[in-house]
Amino acid sequence: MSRWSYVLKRLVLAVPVLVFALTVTFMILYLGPLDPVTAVFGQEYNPSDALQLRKDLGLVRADGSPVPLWEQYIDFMVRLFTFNFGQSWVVASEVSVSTLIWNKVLPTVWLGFWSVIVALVVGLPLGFYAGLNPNTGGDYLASFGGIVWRAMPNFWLAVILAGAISQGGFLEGYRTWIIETQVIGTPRGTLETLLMDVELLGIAMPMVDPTNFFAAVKWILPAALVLGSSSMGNEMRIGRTAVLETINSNYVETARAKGVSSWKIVSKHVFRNAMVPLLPVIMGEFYLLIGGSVLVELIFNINGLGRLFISAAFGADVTVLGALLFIFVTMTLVFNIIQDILYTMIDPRVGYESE
Amino acid sequence: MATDTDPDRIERFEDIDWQATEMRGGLSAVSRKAFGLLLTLAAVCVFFLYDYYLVRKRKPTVPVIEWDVSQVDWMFMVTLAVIFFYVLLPLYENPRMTRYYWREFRKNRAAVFSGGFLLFVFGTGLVGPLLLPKPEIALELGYQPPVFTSVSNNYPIQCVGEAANGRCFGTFQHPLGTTGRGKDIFRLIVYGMTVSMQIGLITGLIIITIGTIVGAVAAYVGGLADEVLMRYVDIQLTFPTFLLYLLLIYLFGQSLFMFILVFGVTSWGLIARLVRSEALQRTEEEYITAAQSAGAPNLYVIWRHILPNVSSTVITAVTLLIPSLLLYEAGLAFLQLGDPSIPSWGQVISAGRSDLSFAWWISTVPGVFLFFTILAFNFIGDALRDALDPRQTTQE
Repeated sequence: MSRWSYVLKRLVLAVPVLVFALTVTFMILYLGPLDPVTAVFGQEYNPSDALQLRKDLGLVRADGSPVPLWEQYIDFMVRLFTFNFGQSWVVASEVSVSTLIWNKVLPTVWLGFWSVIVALVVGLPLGFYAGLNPNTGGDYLASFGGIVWRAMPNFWLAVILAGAISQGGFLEGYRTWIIETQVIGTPRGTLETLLMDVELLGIAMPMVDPTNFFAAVKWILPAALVLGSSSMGNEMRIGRTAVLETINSNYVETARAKGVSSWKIVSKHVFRNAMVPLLPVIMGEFYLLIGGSVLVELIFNINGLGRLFISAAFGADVTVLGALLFIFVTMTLVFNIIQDILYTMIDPRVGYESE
Repeated sequence: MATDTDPDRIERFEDIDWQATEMRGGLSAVSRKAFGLLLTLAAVCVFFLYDYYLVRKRKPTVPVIEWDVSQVDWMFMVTLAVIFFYVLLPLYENPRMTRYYWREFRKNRAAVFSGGFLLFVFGTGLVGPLLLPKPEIALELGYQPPVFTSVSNNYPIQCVGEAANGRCFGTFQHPLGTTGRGKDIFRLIVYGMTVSMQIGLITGLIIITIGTIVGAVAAYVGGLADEVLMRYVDIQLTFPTFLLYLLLIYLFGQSLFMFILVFGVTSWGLIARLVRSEALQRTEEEYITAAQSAGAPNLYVIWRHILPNVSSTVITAVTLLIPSLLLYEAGLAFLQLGDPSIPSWGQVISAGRSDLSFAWWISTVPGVFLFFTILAFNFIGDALRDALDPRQTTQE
């Protein structure tokens, strides 16, 4: 089977999973205890307002008769699959869900991007260093650090770090370091001004504004460090083991005997083979970002998707919840497929036939 | 022999009457455990029915020690019974293997320390609540610092220890200090140990049971059953459990019971996958073919040959899964989504969050305990993996 038909097959197989997950979501949202009317108007509401809301939500027809559940179900699925997410009712009254999500997606993506980067930049080199110099002082230090980071409860670390930076703790100087930035909360416009137009040879080109960029990175870094902490430890540990395993293998010895330079051995043989067990760990970070961003965003007061999810769940905002779950589940499935494709690229022994 | 000339006689294996084998097994050493477990479960059942029908609501089940048995306590009793009959008893009955395990285990010093710490947490969590009174709110005793430390006199309303130079010093009355509302942190920690152990053990047992059954059935039966079960696992792994939990607590209120149930019933996906791939390898082996050729029933093969062979993988995986469950519970408690009536470590961390600038101990102390518990589970899980899977060894 060629790579493309494999991808196609995986995509087709993902559709039933998505449909089923959305069906469960529908059942929870529409058959469960959530009542949008009390969520919007409170316990004492005007019956005509309530009727209007039910009409708007598609629960009741124009003539006042209730819409049968299967029609609601079809409507729900069709709307999600055509990316027509409808309006939010509770979180932000009468704002379209797409706008709402679009406004909040930037901080979350920024946070996720940097937590992956921080984990990779710190974890991988440390793990490789430890694996290339086993049983030295540096190895013990790195391994111990990796184990400690991995066991650090995420939200606890977040509380301590946020406290240390904002409440006059020992890291208070971080706020005014180099440039004054806000660390807790979402500073307005930091991410929107990342790009500036620069006239280059008479053509306006978007360029990264260095000051704003630095400010934005500095703002997100503590949160990203917390979110990436456990993956950092994992990457370090598994990277170390993987390097140790390949460095003692016969082909590395052969290469060394042939006189291949040690840099080439590491980059050509060790690195690529060590990536095989590392891949699921690195990809696993993306799942972590979907789930873990909720707590970190709450503690660091970042106005992103995780917080939107929490407020939608507390506020019983059915439309926002449906859209967010659709996005979460789709992203998980896509990451699954990407991971399997990357597997076949890194490790040619993994065939397309098996699963 | 006369049969040699019989043309209808076909070469065949010795007949085994499987029913008789199972009957005999019913009285042998293996099923003495099952019998003991059943007896204990029956006793728990009788106790439960007594509590359900004869004791009025909100009245203590055992009045002498004022113990009103909760839903989680029932599950915990069952879990302890299973652990006793299927972990401790076999270890006791087979001292040679026990000594062997202990020798192997002792080689990893970090794992021994971790095991000791977890046993300490387990024992304290089991006995502590019987000896110590529940932590109570006492507003005038808020913000007492831990022993040997001090806090500015502005914060505690009343200083239990000695007050000098405008600072209030901690006492042994509250060795780890108190929260802003005057709850003693030492007692909160001890009660939190019970909660953590209940989460770890009960959820672990649920996950092991469902995951192993699903994985073994999928691998051994194969075909449509395999396909359906594994696609279901796919869905379960993509669906956010958090939302399910949120909706169920809307419906039934926040409780530890709900947490254990929801996360136990939805977290076995990875274990099932692991068991399936492991069992698929085992199914290829000769002893399985031998058992099948001799006409052993499927259930017998799964129970006697496949399960014992995958058990080490499962135990390792669950040991590494439990810390994430503990973290999850603490995280939910932190979001005020946990059981408000049960002092979990996450709740205490959350309570001390806004006071971090002066009362550092409220968030830090439970955080340290949570951290060490998770660390210990990780160490033991890694040690088990190193011991059981030589490919993964970290020592060269």
